[in-house]
Amino acid sequence: MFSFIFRLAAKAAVVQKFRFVSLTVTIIVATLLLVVLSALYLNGESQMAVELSGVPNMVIKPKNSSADLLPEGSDIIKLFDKNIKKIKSEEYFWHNNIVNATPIAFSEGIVNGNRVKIAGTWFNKNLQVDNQSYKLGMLRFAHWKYTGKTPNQNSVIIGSNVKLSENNYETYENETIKIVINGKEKTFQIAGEINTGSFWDNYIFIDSNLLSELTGSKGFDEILVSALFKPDDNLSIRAEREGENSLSSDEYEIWMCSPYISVVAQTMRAEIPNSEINVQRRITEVQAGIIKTSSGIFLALFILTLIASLTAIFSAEKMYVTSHIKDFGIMTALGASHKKIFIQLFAEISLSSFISAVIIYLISSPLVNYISKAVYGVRFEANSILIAAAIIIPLAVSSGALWFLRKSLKENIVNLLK
Amino acid sequence: MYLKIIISSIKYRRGLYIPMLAAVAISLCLIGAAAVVGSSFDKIIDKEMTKYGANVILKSNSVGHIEDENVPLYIKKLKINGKDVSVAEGSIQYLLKINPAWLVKGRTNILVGKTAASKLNLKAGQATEINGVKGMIAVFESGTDFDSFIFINKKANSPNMFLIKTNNPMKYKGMNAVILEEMVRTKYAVIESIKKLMVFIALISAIASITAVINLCRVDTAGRRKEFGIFKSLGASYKSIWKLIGSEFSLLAVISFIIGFAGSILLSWLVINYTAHTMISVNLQSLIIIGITSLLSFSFAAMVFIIESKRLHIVEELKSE
Repeated sequence: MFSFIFRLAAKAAVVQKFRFVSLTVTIIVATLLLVVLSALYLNGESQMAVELSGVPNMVIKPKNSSADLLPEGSDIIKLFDKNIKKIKSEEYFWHNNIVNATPIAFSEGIVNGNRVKIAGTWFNKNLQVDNQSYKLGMLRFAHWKYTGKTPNQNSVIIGSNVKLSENNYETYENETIKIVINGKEKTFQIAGEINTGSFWDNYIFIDSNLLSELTGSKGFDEILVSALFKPDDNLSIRAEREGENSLSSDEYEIWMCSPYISVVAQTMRAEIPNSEINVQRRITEVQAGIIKTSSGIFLALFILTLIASLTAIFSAEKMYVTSHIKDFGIMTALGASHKKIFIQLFAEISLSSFISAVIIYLISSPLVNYISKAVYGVRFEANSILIAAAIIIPLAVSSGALWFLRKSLKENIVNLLK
Repeated sequence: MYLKIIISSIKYRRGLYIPMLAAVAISLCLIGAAAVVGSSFDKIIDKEMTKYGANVILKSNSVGHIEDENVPLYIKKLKINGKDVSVAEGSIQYLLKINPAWLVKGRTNILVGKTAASKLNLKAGQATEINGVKGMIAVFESGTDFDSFIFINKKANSPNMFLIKTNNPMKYKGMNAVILEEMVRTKYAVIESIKKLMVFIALISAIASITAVINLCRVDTAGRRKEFGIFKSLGASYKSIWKLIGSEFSLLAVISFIIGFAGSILLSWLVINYTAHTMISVNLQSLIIIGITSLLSFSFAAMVFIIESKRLHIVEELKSE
């Protein structure tokens, strides 16, 4: 019987090809709207976090260093590049959350008789950790605006507030600069200018190895880190304000396994002994606020999209069933039961949904890829949720719609044939 | 009379037009909400940006009146527990107001940065007296160099540092000021992404809306052709049939525009008010986008029937009647 019903459904689809194609196209478009936008919303929060991670939001300093707005002495303990390797190694649980890290060694120099602040750092370094290659350095902070050419070991990058001479350069192209550091004069090629929007604009940046050679001092004074994190919620706020001891063992486990900024900082502190992790709260609070708000908006838009898609599919199916009313009348007159008519209609709509599911499955991935690249600049991979949604949504909605429309099938035969 | 015919036609086809209006209106709500959310995002981000706090640190003891929100501080070096530390005199209430991101455990008139607390071995809740100010210690964390400071609640008579929160930090350039604008570029990058996302939402929704309307119309083409056949047999011209179709769908477009606009304002208000606790900003652009989509959706629908009316063969259409 089922084979007969399915053959009948296939035949009906061919005979009523316009209606069948219309239904299928509506299901495809409405489901694509849902699948594509859901993929953008689902990845929106994490992508927003990446978008916001273009500035350092943590500073690792040696414990008891004397950083001060009114400097009072020299540091005793130093940091080394092995510390950066530690937080990018697989042994550190949140290594994937560390987007960028660059060391800073402070010094002073003299340019044209004027005292200038010098920072030794990595410009754009390839760091090998656990057979993985990472590109780290000051030029990897996406929202530090750099204009110039690729620097080398003998180049300097000038902070946008640094005045090198009375006649300001409009462009640093092919300019050189003589800097006296620790009594040694060296000529550097100016690679370009950096605008960080912070006090780093008052510095001249040089390669950390070269600075070490000139000053004879090994190690770094601090490490700037950009980390991805989860915005605070009630649990993390409680842990931060009342201490971890105020959490139950289950809460503690959840807290420790979530990338809250306080957890990332605490675990980092354990990885780097004698260090102090300063979370730049003015930055993390803004980042968290934007992520939270965006997530809320994405969720609300997702619900709207869901309603819009389901309404479109439901409307299309209602029209499909309505346009079939006369056929049902004839079938009923010929002795078909309501159940059989229902099964045949279900078979027709399932066939349309199945064709839609196949088409959606084939085109949703490239479409999501294209749109995510245009919106966020990265290609989202088609994930399992997306594929499952592409298949389940049309079928589920079709079945649901048919269930709601079953009343139409129980009309009086005279009404159906009128 | 003409309007009566149109209204009667719409009423007669309510089974078709109600789902059609619902599909278009919901799509318009989504498009409108995307447009309004996109245009309100600047405001949402600006609100979040206020958490950044003071964005200018002016180190000077000879400044005149500062118009922007600011906290004057007098910073001096003191020896506490045998160690040198920077102590800042000023209003703690304004200091915390201007720096909402600082994490402060407790409320007091002596605020000790976490670095200073660790260096001087001071604990939160400990009673102490610093520079004539008595109180319980509260430890704060900012992540900045201020963590090595102690702030005491005392009027700064001759301030040598000002923490300023301003929308125009560049006016302090060249005044021995540290200007902090590091999140400004981030703001623009985020707004750009969000706007692109909203454009895609609107675009896909518009395509879905138009497709839904056209497909729903196609379902009714057979019935409509018969009706046009009757009109023709009664002497109506193609032009008058098209006029009828155009008027019918124009009315539907207006209805869907009103529902869609009202719905999008309501929905975007709900979304923005609930998630960002701020007011929406509706601009002319949002209105135009909703109007154009509504018009386009029903124009395509009208086109379906106009094409059908051209393919009409009166005898064939009326054969079964």
